[in-house]
Amino acid sequence: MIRTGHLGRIELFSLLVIASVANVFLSYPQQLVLFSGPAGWMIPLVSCAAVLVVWWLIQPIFRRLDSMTSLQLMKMTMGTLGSAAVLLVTTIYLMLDGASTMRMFTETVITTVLPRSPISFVAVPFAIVTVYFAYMGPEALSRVAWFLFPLLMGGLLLLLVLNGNWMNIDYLLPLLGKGPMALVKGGGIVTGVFVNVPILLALAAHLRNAPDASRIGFWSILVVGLIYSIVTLCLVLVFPPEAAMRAPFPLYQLGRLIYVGRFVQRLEAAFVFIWVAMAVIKISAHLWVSAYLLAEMCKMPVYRPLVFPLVMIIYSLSFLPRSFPQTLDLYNRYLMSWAWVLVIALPLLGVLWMRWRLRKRKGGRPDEQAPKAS
Amino acid sequence: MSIWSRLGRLLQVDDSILSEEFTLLAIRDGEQADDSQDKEDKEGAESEKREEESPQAEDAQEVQPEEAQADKPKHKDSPYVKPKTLKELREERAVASEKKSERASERASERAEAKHPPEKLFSDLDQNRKYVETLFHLPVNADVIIRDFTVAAADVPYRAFAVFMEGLSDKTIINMNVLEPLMMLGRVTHPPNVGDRITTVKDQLLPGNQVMEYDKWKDVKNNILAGSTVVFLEGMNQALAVETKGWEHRAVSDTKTETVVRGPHDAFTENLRSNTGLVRARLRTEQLITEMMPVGEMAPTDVAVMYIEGITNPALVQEVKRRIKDIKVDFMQDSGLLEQYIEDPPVGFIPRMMATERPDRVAAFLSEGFVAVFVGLSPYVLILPTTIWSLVHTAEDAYLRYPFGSLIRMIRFLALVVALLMPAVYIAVTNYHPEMIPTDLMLTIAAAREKVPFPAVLEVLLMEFSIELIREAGIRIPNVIGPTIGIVGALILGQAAVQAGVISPLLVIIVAVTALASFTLPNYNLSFAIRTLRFLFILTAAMWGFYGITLGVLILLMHWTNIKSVGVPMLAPFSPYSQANSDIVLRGTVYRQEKRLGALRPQNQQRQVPFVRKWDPRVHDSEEARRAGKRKGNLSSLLKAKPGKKSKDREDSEGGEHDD
Repeated sequence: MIRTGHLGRIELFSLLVIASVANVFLSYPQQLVLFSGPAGWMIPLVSCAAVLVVWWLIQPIFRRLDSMTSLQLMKMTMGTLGSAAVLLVTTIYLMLDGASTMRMFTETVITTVLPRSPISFVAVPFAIVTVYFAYMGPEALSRVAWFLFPLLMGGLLLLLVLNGNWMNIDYLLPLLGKGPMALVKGGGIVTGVFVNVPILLALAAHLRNAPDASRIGFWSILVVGLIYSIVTLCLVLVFPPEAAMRAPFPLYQLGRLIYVGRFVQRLEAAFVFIWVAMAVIKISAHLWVSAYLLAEMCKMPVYRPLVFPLVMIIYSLSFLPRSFPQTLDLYNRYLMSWAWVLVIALPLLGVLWMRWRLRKRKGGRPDEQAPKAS
Repeated sequence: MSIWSRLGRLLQVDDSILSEEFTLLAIRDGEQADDSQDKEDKEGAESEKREEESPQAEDAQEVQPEEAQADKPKHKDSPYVKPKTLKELREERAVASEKKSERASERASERAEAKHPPEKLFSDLDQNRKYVETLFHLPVNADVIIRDFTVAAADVPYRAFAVFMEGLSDKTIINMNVLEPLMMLGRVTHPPNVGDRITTVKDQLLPGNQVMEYDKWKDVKNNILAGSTVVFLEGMNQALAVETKGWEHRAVSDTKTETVVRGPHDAFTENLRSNTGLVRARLRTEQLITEMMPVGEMAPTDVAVMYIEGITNPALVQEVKRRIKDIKVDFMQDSGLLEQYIEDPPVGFIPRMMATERPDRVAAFLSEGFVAVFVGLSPYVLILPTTIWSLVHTAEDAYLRYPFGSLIRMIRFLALVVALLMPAVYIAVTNYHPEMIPTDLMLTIAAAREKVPFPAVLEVLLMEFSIELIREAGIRIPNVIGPTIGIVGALILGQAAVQAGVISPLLVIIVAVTALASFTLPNYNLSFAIRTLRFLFILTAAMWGFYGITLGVLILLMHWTNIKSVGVPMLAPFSPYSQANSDIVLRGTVYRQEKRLGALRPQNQQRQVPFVRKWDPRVHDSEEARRAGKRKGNLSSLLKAKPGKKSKDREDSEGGEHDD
């Protein structure tokens, strides 16, 4: 694969955080409350701790990435077939996740701001923008992410703060919700939101200094965990658990509640900017990584020709569920419940395998036998 | 031609009129010059033919006035033409082809001469004069003046001539400093001649401040075209070019488009050398370099590339020069054209370089490591690379104290957003998200819009179009009635439109605020870009509301992230992030702006010492002071550890502190 350009540290960090956090605008906070009641806000912290441990095990691999990409390293240690299988599974997951996110976001847009528009009228421009973003590559994508990062985080914070007058600390009780076991179980499942881990594994080679990926990973995992936790905490503080469990778009509900004086009210439409921007960045990142992995698997010199067919597949997949509830059901039942396998377990096992194989090589430097990074 | 014949002509079908129409089709390579000659030949041949064929007609023709002859179609004069025999036709064709081949060979020799003109001057004065006439198309070309005279030498007077361009050269200098000394002072006793005529004339007779010897026609031609007077002497194969430039140009005057309250008021003018001088007067350093390079194959225009050696990145200078040198065009008219030739891809609305009329801005940018490009007689100088941020900055931001500099800058950034999005947001809110508006206001808007028969988008487009018309008309109409148009357009048209129920009163406010916001943008090209983009946002808002605006903003951001100005990303130093002074959106305190813009990779990034206000008592507790103290402490401990190197290290440390 021809490599062009370099990613900045702070730009990549922003991209990872936004790509992982975008789901907070969907039903994730509701699911967290469903898992553990008023203690739902603790689940992301548990997940965060688990993923940090996993990352601690993964990150030594970045020291090897100075001379080759993670995919080349994977090919070297797992063989062509093994690496192709891993890449294919990851690509399929990313595309399914992208498709479900696209459907849910377009449904959210229809519900919130364009109630009389047909879904294709909303989804087509969305798909076009994601194609443009993915086509421009990770360098441009990460720069846009960094440019928007302060705005999006500021907007998210404002959305939570403006609901301050509705918050009630009593809603947090009982503090441990459905108990520690529910917290641990929920924490394990929710590790699937940390898609920054596989994306970073794919993108680390594009950094000027690949070992920087280690710090970027730690910080992005921490920030993602905190954002999920704070958003869920605000949701629980504003809505009692019974009400929060019935809110499929919790942040939309929070936006509707805003009423600060006569002139600051009903700002949910203004927050469309935040969630659409996040969704575009997330799906573009998924699209780019999918195209990149497929191109690498097929030994293509460039990924760009794959962007168009992949977006067509994602677009078509997003219309497979008959309705929005069915989409939500499928997502919660399969993707959310099993995402941790592909997002955390597979990279962890893969990297541990790579490390073991590399250690087994007697004095053999991996870069001596690996194909040169193009 | 009488009235009757004119009327009669209207009523008759006359195909020959078509052949009399002016057309450019016949003019092909090399044919234009011979056109008149061909016509004459043709007319001559025809008249001969007429003489032979119908002497009576000739008599009749002689009687007719000339005017009538010209107007009358030819075949009317000789209604009967005797058919030619085959032999005659062949002879005619043979003669015609012979003439044609002769003319072709003549043209070929002329072209060959034009392709390989003599490189060096001739020794013979007449030959030189003849070549000057050929070179400048004399006597057709009225702008070139050749003045023949005799140099009144003390021993033997000899012939000479001076060539200069009317309108480009200063006649007083020519009379007083070229012709008078050569024609009148030659007889005055001089020190003995040590060289040939040209040396004598140069050293003793021509008092011009710049006199150069040339022996090549190319140099001679360029000097004459640049306004110098070139003196040719008898028997010399060299000529003297005396600097006599003096064409009319506007004096340095007030700024037209970048006016400030606090700060200099002078602006560039239509004179390259005055413009470079205005910058040099501010940046008085020997490191300021001006490289000249002509652009234009047919008529070269001087282009000056200015930068500071030792600060500006050499790669940047090389790239700018490379792009300029690569331009192969007949004529480069203005900096606005040069800008389009050298700007980076991809195409887009945002200007890739800044055009300014302020010498102080150019000086400031040069001192930061930027490159300035002056183009011929253009009063706008290009600064490159540039960033989107600096397109919103003004010179005044720096001259005001930092709170006020920051304030006006924030207002301008807000104006950019308003100018870009306000009409689109109005459409989105009124069409799709009325719940966002407080209820009372929503009812007022609804009541105002009740009488309006058009949808909001059409209303906005109508008003925006009207504003664009007023703006365009305001530029084109004469200055005397300019303000009137403003009043007519803004007040009467707006008021009347509201009363007629064509638009709602709120929309007048929206459009007026948008227009004011777009006038606030200091860069003319950026203002154009925002105006154009506004229409696109209006359309997306009309179709998708806030959702459309969001997608539009995302596409725009992605585009802005990708565009570069001479290799520097236009959103730098924010995205990609690099360390920079607090001088992007806000204007920080000037004494803390220590570094030059890192995205330019300047040779020297430090623009001032880090600890510049040593007298300020608060500075002793500041971070800079601590850092400086720490450095000093480290150095002193080092000095204690190595007493042998004490004196040298102390010198270094002192020097280092100053360098910092």
